[in-house]
Amino acid sequence: MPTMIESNLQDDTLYFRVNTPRLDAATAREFKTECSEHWNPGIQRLTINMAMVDFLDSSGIGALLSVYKRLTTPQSIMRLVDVKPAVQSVLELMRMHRLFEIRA
Amino acid sequence: MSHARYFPDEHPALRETLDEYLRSLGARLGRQLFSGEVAALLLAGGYGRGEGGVFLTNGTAGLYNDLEFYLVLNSSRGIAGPARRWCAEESHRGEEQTGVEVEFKILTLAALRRAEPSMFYYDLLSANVSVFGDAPLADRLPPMLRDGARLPAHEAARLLFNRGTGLLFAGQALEQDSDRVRDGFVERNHAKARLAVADAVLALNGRYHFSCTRRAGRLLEPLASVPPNWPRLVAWHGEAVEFKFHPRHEHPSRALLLDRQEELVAAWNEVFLWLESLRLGENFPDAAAYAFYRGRLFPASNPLRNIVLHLRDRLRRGCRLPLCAWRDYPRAALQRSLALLLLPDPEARQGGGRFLGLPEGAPINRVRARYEECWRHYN
Repeated sequence: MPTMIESNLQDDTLYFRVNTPRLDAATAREFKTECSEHWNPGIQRLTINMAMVDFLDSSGIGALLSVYKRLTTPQSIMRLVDVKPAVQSVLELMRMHRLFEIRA
Repeated sequence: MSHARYFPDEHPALRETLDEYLRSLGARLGRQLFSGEVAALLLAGGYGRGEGGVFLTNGTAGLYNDLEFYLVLNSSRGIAGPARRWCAEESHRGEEQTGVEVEFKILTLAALRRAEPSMFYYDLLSANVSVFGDAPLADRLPPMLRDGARLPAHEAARLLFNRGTGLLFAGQALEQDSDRVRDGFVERNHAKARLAVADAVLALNGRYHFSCTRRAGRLLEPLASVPPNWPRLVAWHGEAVEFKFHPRHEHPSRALLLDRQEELVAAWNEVFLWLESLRLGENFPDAAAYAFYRGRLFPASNPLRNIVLHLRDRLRRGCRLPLCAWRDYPRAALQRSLALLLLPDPEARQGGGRFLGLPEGAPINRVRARYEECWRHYN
């Protein structure tokens, strides 16, 4: 069965690739559920590849924040990479770049 | 997603049950003597918009929200009594059949034609399921009722007022540690408040849409005016949309619910004062400044009509708002009172009673009871 995210864990770094073009009300719940399945408390760094995502709504923002909140120590880092320009604009409008790194 | 029938997810058995219920309901209405005077019977609310909640119990899908029906009559002349009786019977029958609360309300075409644009009419007429009636009802009514961009700013305030009232009731349940804490009442009201604080901002910006998934997208567009902490409100909206479609009772501890309550009330207060400051062209730095504002909160309302409304409420509804409030629309007194009732300081909260016609120092439970009684007429 196709999954919404592919994951790869190396030491304390978790790598996700989002396999859906829309992170919205229809997909946010599944995204969060799958993130939970791959999570462990030792994770310090999280990189999410957003290359496939071209639409975010408030549910998508909520989902990204809920994953971000799982990183519990001040040294923890979350990065969004391969972010499309339209998605990057939305994330910046919502000031998400103050919480996590966002790279095109 | 927002145009699915009743709810967004695939639950064919539940959808079929609801289809069958609506078919039989329409057939029963058709057999009534007054059915010739019925313009439409509409399923409105979340299920009418295709955005109802589905609650899973051990994997079995069930309805979560109330079913809201509107019986629209061509004219109520001579048939109001039978129509009301039929609605009462069907409400009872519907609750037995569906397991959720089933509400019927009666409207007339004349009242709809006279109606001012409001969120209620916009939601009702823009998306519904027609259970009975030939021609689409909306085609027979002024198009402005279906224009989300034309909702007046006081409708945004009204949305916050209603959800703030939900927070007031949730806070009361938490304070008394009542059964409502455990039956999901508090979680539901928290989710509704999370949706509303962001939705009210969209309404104020002329970007409200009946579909909450469409609103979820619009929140991420650049808006002319947004309140402080906007990104947090947007994220809350997203969580609340998810709860709306996939409600669940996680039974969080009372302590956690109290924390959430405090956080939500603070956010509500911030957004409400921000919105009212913009709407009225004033600056309300705190709830007291708003509650004791000397101007009218509904400046466009007709003072004479307001006096008639207050008089009607006093004589027919037992809703005794103080005389000093009579020049303004009756909801103004409730909005002022609510702003104080949601404050953390017990003494400040008691002050909410003076806008409801209660003496200084009336016990807080009496103030809340009076508020609830009056709110039922102006929500």
